[in-house]
Amino acid sequence: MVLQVEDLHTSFFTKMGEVKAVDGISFHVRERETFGIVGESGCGKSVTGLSIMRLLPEPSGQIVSGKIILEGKNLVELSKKHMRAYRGKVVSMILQDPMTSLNPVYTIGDQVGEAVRMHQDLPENMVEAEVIDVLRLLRIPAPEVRLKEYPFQLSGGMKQRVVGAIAMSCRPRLLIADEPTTALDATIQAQYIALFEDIQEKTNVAIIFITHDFGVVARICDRVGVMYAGKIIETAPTRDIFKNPKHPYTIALIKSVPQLDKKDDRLFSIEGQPPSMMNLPKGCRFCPRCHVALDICKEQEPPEVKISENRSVSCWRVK
Amino acid sequence: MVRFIIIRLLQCIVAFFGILIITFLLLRVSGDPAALLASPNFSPEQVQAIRVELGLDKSWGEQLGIYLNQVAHGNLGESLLQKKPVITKIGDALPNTLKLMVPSFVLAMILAFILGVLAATYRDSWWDNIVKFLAVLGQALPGFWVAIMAVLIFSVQLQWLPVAGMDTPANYILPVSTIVFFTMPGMMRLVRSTMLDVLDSEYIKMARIKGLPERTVIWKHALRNALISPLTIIGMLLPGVVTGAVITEQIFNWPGMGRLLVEATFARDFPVVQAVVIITAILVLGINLLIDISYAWVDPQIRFQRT
Ligand SMILES: Nc1ncnc2c1ncn2[C@@H]1O[C@H](COP(=O)(O)OP(=O)(O)OP(=O)(O)O)[C@@H](O)[C@H]1O
Ligand SMILES: [Mg+2]
Repeated sequence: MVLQVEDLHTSFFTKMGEVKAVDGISFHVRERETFGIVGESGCGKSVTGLSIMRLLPEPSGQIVSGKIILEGKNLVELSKKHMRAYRGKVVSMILQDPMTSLNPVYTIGDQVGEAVRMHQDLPENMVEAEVIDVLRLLRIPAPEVRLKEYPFQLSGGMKQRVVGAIAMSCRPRLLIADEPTTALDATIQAQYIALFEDIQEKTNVAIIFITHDFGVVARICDRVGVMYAGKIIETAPTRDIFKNPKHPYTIALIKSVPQLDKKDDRLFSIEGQPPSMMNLPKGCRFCPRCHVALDICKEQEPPEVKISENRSVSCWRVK
Repeated sequence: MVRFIIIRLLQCIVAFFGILIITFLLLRVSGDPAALLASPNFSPEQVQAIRVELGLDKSWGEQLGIYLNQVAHGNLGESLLQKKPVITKIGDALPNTLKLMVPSFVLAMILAFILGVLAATYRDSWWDNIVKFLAVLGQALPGFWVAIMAVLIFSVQLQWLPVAGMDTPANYILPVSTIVFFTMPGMMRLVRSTMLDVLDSEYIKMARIKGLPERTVIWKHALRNALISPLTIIGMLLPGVVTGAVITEQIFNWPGMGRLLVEATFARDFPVVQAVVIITAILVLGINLLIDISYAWVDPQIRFQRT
């Protein structure tokens, strides 16, 4: 087991009140596994990633309770200094917006090299070779030339790969990829996903792949957790979730994936809005939008039920 | 890059001659120096004789031609009042002004950057609030009033510091503080707000993801990006510094270019006024050129542009 998250609660303490962005989630990721986190905008996917990195915006964002166990160490308890030694080395992250993730005033070589120098005790003359090596891992053509270039000289797809190279520069055990393909067009997106599979094969890295697109989940994830308003409401292996989704929200999300082979090309979307994370409904948080809600759904939150070795669901209808 | 510098240089030369001609004309409009030089009991003929002697009887066009020719040969003319070459007057005054303005401006900018960066880094802390308060104070109170107050309190009442003169280091304290007081706050606020924008950006998060220590994140990754717009402002602040020098030198009786300019203007000593303007223009334009070149150092995108 590379990562084990147990009952994680992360909140933002704002002037208007406590925003429970992540409200008690648990999941795990194994070596060489890709775990998908999928859900609508604002459900807490990025906050989950940033909590694991311990890079929540200070001072408002705070991990309230729970455990994040990475390679046997609970990150929540680490001192700032200790955590910094983990960042980039054991756990790394690719941010949602690749176009602005590179510093415009430093060269690619400098920005990748910096990460290498930070965590690997290499003599200076070997840093460049190491940088070229990781650029190759991301299949960046002519890495020797790229070293001396600035971000504005690269195409969007190339920038995205350089960001990937920075994240992978110390061959971390866990990589969190926050919608890394959303800003790219379809062909480049497909290439990038293939690249991830290749990298995983070569480095055994465990990946958390954050997305709002079930189509992407189908392509790359081994298992997936469906997130709704700060909670993971269903976890399952990818194949099972497509074949037999259990939670009404999962069913609706899968229906809303555009499918080319279907005659009906109307895009399905889920009615209504997710609840405000500042005052959540008393019962099930999906209840107000659910077409099959029972009386109990309004009153009590459904517990997480383990329905088989690899699957669990939080819904009163699923026993 | 070379082309960029050449174009900027040509623009500077055009601007320089523009300033020269405008000052020349404005001065002639302002009045007749011969009338001031002459005693009230001079006859019109005697006044006319003074005009002829000073070359003021010729048409403005002719005068301008003669003057431009002189300047082109590095000759700034003679003071109308004292029959001294203007260049010696400037030679006395300019070093005094530089001795005051350069340390003040550099100090103001260094303080502005350090305080601005720290305020942004510790946003909304008590420290940030102090900086914000200082900035408002500095921008709301007129520089000359602060200077006069400072003289009243520290020199007249408490007698800690000398009122005027420039012989001892203690003489520098009040004028330098005055100039810092009216140049620093605006810059400090700008540095703080650009720094806040930069700190919010994704590449700063990325730098933290790498596990870099916070000091590298702030002083390497953020500051270099936060330099770009304050640099532009430095160029725009310079004229203000020049006028500030005039006021400051006047209040502290500092024998520099500012005081020379005021005296010469009241006496309609055209060649001196023109010379002061020329030297100031060269300084301001030159520094602006240096700033443009320093952009290229800060922002690689400019370095690679062909224009
Ligand atoms: N700095 C903050 N202060 C207050 N609330 C915040 C802050 N950052 C995020 N939130 C809240 O936390 C919730 C989760 O945000 P998060 O960024 O994780 O969403 P997401 O699932 O990544 O969405 P998207 O698909 O749009 O990226 C949102 O409701 C948001 O309003
Ligand atoms: Mg997000």
